[in-house]
Amino acid sequence: MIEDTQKLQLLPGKRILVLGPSGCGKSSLLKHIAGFESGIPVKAPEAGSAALLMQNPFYQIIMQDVQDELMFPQKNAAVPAQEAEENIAAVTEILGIAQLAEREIASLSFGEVQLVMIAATFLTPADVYLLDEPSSHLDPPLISAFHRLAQYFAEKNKCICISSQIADEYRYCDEIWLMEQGSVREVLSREAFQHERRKRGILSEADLIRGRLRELGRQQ
Amino acid sequence: MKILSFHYRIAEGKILQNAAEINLKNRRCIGILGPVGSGKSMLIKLLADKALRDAAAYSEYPFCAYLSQDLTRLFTGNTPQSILELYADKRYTVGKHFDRSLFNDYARRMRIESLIGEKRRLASYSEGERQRLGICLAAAVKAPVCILDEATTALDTQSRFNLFGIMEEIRTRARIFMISHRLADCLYVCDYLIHMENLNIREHYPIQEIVEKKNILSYYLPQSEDEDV
Repeated sequence: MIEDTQKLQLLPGKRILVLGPSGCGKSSLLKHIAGFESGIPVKAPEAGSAALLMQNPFYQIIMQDVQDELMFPQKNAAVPAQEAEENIAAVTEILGIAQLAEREIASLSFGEVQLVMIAATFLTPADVYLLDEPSSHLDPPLISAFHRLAQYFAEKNKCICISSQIADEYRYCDEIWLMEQGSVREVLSREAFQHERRKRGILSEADLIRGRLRELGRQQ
Repeated sequence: MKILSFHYRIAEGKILQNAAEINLKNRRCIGILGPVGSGKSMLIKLLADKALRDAAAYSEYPFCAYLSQDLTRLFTGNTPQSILELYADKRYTVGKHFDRSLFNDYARRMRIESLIGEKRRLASYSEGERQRLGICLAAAVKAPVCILDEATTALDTQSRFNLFGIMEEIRTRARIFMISHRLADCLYVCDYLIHMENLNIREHYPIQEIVEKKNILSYYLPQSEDEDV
């Protein structure tokens, strides 16, 4: 269960990173906040209306074409057509996927599907956006693009809560929730996490790459 | 083994190609890098998928152990027990090459041993648990070529290093092709890299040369704010 629930708050304009090893309960926490899962012993903070992107983006595809998939959540929420088109244009431009709009989803690569489903999630009108490892199939430039989109919605007073295995993403977030064995053990600010992470042995991708490059450089 | 020069039409206007022959003699673990949508998975599907054999992209076409990027189809409706029975079925090619005791060893090393006996459907496992199971299944298939397509997307650092250890072992008996958008994966286990861009093989080189590839390093290693902490 989550200890010290007082500290877990999904506030407007905040970006939260849920970090922890495989199987520690990140997905369960997000599903629980979204109201999808009950009967699990976590006490989630109150969320307003929430949109959830699950870890495997293929589970949530509904339409055949990218454009229809991006239109669907907005049609469902009765967003006027003109406004819906403008929303799609804004979101796809930030993610750099405008050129995918005419494609069939079946023709996309895994990473491209993940980008389309990130866009579809943010196009669902909500107060809180929950994304479960949204960057797992993205490379670093696309991870930055994803966080530019998250920032765009944070500036519109939305709360964005993402999970990740990649510690590097902390630099885009305001709060880091450290999970272990089914509970959030600690809530750190970005600055506190940056200061603490090496002491706690939390390695970033950049640490791994630089360390290995030094070894390879010596071998040469 | 060689990757031959080839043109392969995927769809209207989409052609996967390689201009020159690539000799993989003495290369045991080949990493495939490139942006999202650059054709990485398609390149190794030419090796793994019998239906794509006519592309004639490789000099030999041996039987492969293949871990697909999308595990949804593999696991739908299955329990760990039912999928293990399927893998061990000697009527199929995979069954003839599947080594159950090797699987048990890998399952222990990937820390999913306790999940194997459970009766739950795989749909209720976490992505990371399913990915680790998929790795152990593919790794325990003894084939001349082993393909791992984005095998680390749901793994934490500890599990990744456990996988690297298993790969060190596989490479002594099989040639590995690995796709990962996490450069660290390739740096730790590969001895050769193939770089894809816009459905083309752009570059290929021994791993040690990556330290000089500034464009690739800056792609994967954006300037970070705590670099010198």
